Amino acid sequence: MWKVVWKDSLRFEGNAIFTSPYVPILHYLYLYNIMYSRSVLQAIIWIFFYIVFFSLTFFPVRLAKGMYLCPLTTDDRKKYIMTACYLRFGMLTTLYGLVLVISGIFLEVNNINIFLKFISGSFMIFYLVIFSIGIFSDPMETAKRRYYTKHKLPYPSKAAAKNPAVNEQGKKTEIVSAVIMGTAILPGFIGVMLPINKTAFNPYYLFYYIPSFIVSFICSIIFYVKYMDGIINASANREIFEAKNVKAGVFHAD
Amino acid sequence: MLRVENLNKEIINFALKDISFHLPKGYIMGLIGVNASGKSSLIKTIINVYHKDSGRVYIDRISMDEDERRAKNLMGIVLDENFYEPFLSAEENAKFFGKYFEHYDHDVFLRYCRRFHVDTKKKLKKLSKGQQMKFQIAFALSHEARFFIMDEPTGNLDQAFRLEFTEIMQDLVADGEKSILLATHQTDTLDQIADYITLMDKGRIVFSMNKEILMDKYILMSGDAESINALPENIVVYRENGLYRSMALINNPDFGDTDNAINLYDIEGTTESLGLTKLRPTIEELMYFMVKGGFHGVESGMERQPAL
Repeated sequence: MWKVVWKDSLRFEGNAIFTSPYVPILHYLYLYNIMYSRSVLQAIIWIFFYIVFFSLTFFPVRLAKGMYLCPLTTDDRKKYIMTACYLRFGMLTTLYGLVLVISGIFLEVNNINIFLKFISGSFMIFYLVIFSIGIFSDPMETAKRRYYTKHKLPYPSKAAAKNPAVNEQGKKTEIVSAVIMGTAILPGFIGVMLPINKTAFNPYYLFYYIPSFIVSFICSIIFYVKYMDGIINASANREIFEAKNVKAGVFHAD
Repeated sequence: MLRVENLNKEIINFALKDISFHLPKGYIMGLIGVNASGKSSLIKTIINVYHKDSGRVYIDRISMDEDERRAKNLMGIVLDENFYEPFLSAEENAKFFGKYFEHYDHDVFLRYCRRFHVDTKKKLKKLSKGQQMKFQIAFALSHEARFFIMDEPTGNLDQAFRLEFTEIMQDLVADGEKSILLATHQTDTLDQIADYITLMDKGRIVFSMNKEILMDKYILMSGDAESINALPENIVVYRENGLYRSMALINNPDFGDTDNAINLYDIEGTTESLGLTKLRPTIEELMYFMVKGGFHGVESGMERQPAL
């Protein structure tokens, strides 16, 4: 059983594309935090936040499709999903705890801060690399089509776009998406233009501050200028999928 | 055994519209239709994989909405795509999913797997599509299901197994307690075993009726093009003129007891005077001519069926 539960908690649905609009917010918040805070605790929280975020982005918890063929009630299915969630949370927490313990044993207290920042920076750069590859190799339209094909959903036609319910939903999410993007871009640009706090300067920071700034800046510009429509569409589509019980024939927990 | 009432389901740019039909105990119903007519969507909506927008589904009088657990216990499901865990072996899958069924019998499952030559130790993803289908059939047969719902079960099966599958289906309904809803493009299988035929088109049911009645309702006329073209428009569903032989599917004027224009037509006299040959159509021919003719002259709706 646990084999299936664990597999469920790692079911790759390829929906990372849908969380993309929110990543810059996280990214800029992270930069601010690392630049202006010297708190170990905050760094720990951020790392854990990153792990959970990436984990859920790339491997959202889903119920095994076979469970829909079994005699189960809605509550049974919900319990099953929650078990997968707890397992994921438990595994991540254990993993994270091990990192802390090992780092605590082998590093001085002062170095833990740097070590954790290094881990955080690695995560961030890893993400940005993946993100950049995604931008250049997998256009939004293709990703959307793949998502629809994977879920055996009819690709929305122009006729479907004329559907008042879809349009209404789309307009709402366009506004939300625009606000989110604005929130991400403005502080991001300001943050990039600000000088690094001299008191927090450490030669090691060069390894991740400068590449992070450059890559994130370029990615943000390319992403938002070239794929703004795509983001809005993807975001709108995601909202429509979230209202799947009404609109789309996709799997559901209840 | 199965009753579907006013089922509606919208799937972005496709919709199942007002689907109603029922399948009595002890019978096999063939669900037919061209690609994208909504057969698979209907099956997924019946088994609650897709949420329906409205309508009701009953399995042996048990509402799927009110007691899905009991209803699903009665169901043996075979789908055209694999819903089971591809990284587990056939046996592990059966053990894992089988425990949710009240009457799952692992020995029965293994016996069917041996009979179908399914390697139970191999991971499901390593099995061929035909083998995966056989695994699904073996699993559906191993938990004392009374209603079987199958979507293209014979699509990837070899000829020999298709014949065996047909026999198994007939054996299943022989006790008069089990029913089968079989969506397929292999209409020759339905010619052999189906008792009812339900035809779908663009998310709607064109008709759902007893196969024998359906076969009596239409006649396939064969002859030269001139004679086929001489058949009156009001009885012709669709005519097709070929190089050597022409054919037309017509409403049988001798069917039913109403005195309308069709029933007044002298089919025997016409057949003799035009030198036409009367044939009993197969399901494939019925479907072909009906689809080609855009369902012109096809009486829609439901034929009266025995009580549940």
